[in-house]
Amino acid sequence: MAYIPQTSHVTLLATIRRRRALPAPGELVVSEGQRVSAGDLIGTCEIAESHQLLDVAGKLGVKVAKLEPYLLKREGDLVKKGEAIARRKGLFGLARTVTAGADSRLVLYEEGKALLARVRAVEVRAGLSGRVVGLGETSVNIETTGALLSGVWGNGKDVVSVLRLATGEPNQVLHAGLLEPSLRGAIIAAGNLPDPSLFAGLVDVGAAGLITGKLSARLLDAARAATLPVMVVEGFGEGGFSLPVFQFLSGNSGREMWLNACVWDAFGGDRPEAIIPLPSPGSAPAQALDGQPLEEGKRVRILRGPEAGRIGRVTGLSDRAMPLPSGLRTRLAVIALDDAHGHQPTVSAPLANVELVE
Amino acid sequence: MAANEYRPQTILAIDFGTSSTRAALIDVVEGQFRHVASGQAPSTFNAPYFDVMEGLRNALEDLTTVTGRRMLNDSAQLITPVDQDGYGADIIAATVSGGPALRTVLVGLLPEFSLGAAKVAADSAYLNVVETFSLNDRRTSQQQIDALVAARPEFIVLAGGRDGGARESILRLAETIGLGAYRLGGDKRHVLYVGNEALKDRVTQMLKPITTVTAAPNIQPTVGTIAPIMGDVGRAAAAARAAQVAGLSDITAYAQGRLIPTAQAAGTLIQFMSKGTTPWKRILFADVGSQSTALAYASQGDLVLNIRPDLGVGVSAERTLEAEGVEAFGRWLPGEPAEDAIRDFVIYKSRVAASTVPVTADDLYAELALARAALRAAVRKARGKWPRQGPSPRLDLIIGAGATLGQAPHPGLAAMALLDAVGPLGATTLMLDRQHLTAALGAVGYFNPLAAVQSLEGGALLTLGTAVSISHTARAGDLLASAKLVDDAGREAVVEVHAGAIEVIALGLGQTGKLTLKPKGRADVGFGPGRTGTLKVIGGQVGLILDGRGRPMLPPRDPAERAERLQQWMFALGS
Repeated sequence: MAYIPQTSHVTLLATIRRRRALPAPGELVVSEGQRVSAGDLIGTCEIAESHQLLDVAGKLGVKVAKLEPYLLKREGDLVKKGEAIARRKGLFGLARTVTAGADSRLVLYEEGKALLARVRAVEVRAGLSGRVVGLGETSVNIETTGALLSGVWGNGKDVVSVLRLATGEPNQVLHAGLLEPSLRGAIIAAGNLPDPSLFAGLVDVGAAGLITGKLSARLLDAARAATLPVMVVEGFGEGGFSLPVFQFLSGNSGREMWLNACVWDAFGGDRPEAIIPLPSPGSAPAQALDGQPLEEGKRVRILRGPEAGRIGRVTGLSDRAMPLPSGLRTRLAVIALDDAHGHQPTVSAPLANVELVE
Repeated sequence: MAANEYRPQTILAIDFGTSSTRAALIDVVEGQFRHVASGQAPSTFNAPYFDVMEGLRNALEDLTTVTGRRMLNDSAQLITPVDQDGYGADIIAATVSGGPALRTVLVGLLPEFSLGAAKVAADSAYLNVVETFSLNDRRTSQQQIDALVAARPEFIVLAGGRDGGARESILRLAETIGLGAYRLGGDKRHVLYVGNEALKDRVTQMLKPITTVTAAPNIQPTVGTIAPIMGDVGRAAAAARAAQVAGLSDITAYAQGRLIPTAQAAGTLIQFMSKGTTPWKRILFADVGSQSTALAYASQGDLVLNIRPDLGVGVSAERTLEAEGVEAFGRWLPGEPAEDAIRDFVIYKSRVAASTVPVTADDLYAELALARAALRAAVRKARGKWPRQGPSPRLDLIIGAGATLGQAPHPGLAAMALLDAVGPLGATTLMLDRQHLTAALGAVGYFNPLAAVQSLEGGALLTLGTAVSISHTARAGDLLASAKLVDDAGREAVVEVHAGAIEVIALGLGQTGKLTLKPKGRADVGFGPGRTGTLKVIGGQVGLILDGRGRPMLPPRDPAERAERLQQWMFALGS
């Protein structure tokens, strides 16, 4: 039986397809096949910040079925604060008027009541340069070729900017002395961040975003509150980038990156990631896919156990459950680990404890 | 079908959990229904699948590897009924607990009546209550619409009005729901109406254009009574989940319209067991999963379900740690791990490595500490709904389930985790549901009650033994009680139990005995402070456990003392 693990991408070049969605029903302004840049508008919508419910029929003293002639505004109309939406003239020039309580859009008339929504216009940008390859009612798919790096944690923000490394070694920790003016406007990559005050330091130096290898769980609240996008790639605690990730970042330093540090929603599929659009050499490279089976020859990262964080290649898969030091019995993958010295020590890890690294 | 009607059928029981999808085969073996084998595979609720059938196909393939019997035809469809080659199943029973708990808004008239009843009902399903509304709500209608839109509910329960009672208030609340659902747009929300019966049609008519409405009996037909609509809530929630995830509707059709929440199915079985058909009248089923912890408590046929969708050992590990606290959690770990290290491990487990398994012994203890924390927090909240029993619950039987407990490498570790987390007093039989069969048999019972009963009697659950938990205020090392066991072969064993210690007397699977307990001083062995008594006990994989550690149970703060105690207890339990 095929085992299908989670996949993390540290991909130097792939065809990448991403869905960009409006947060509410609205208008898409791109068409199928259109080429877009990261900053291009793909659609607009309105987000309701608050509602007002007005009993129009009641205020005018009119039966619901006879309300129509008194309506001055229709569903979909924008109204200003204090503007009349319905009026009924009475005796002696007196009139009953129903007015909007705030600048809003009249979204619904139902059973004699009007629902107004104070709305805020929202514009959604492409986020990555590419080509529109599919349109839904409120979303578009954009396809590009480029490098892709998956994260494990994001603070819900995103930015497009140039990538720069702040630290010269995978495990090097960011400190105030490394925050140079040359990092202004850039997405900064650093092995680890030991102190929450460095988030403010990054903002002060004008950094556009942060990618870190690891981050202590005690700093997550500060990372959430940070005004710049923050993405963690490897995990939580001490340590920094794994070698493949550091090589990925080093090799792409100076290039434009879309850092989408969204919150990882395993159920919905949104995962924090960084995409660097790159020209395709000729024929389109393979798509970066999830949901592939674990097989010999595949590159994997060990997620748990004494070798947690190590990356290597699968050289065998047990077909029977084998005992672990914990006493559990489970199927194992035999993995030849990457090693900085060129050796390839072999270890075993439960299938449940590995993820594909593609 | 009558409970004792014999109809030989091959039954496939499928469970869709957050981490794993399981398929259990039940069939007639030598004239009796028995659990034959199970298959398991990672669940595929999530991206990139969003379709549970992929996980099910893999689980069925695993089952076929074990049994040699195909469950899928060449088109990858379930074979039902059994074909001429003996492949497939006659009956398919299905349960579900997987996917994130449904974001739920509860709406009722008064907090202490209909809204309170709705909250109790919501506790029995995999629901995450994100907002509540009532007439006492100080917010205006428009503010309630704002709140409903901000809550982004997937499931709404509208309760209120005794039969023949309030009308206008209910209709106003229904209007708020309708306007909020209209503003949300997108996929239709599911609304369960459990209010004034006279308004059922009108409310359905109001909300049908923009929501999927299900009506069930009034949750509070008269003031002060609560109707038993737990099943209706569970089914409606399961239907809402089935509308979101591909494959569940197909499975519901195979299961003749019955897709049952896992905890509810398990509750059905233990409710039956508590009615006098077994020696146990007060039964607790505790299922600690990756995402949620479900407790089913049955006492002489009355069932209370309590599901905590925010407590688990995988996806919900982070919230479990918050509920228990880092300090209390750390006291279940040998050594002296730093608080930062505990937080890093738990958050990593929760966000990145939810489905991983422990590799080393320390890793295993951390996993069991998570299971304890989830179960302790769940029991703390659930006990308020159980019959009053004093500071510690009195339970005749505890069944532990979920991968961490059910598949603990040493049964003694699972026994200790159950005793530590639940903290019972007196004599309690302990069992493990290693194959996730409690819910499966509960679901099977709807179609073939005899199959469920015979499979249960045939050893579906692993008996760990009987535990006697002693309540006391003695100092560590003081003598608490003497215990004399005479087993059914006439062999005697005598043991002294001291404060802070665990003693185990060998009593194997299938063996029984008579245990006489003589407490010292005011120690309570289950018969009252200082009172001697004799009781029948059953043996199991661990044996007869005498727990002198007292209640509530937390290991010592001092790391060296804690390490010594944990080792002593685990050694005593054979781990």
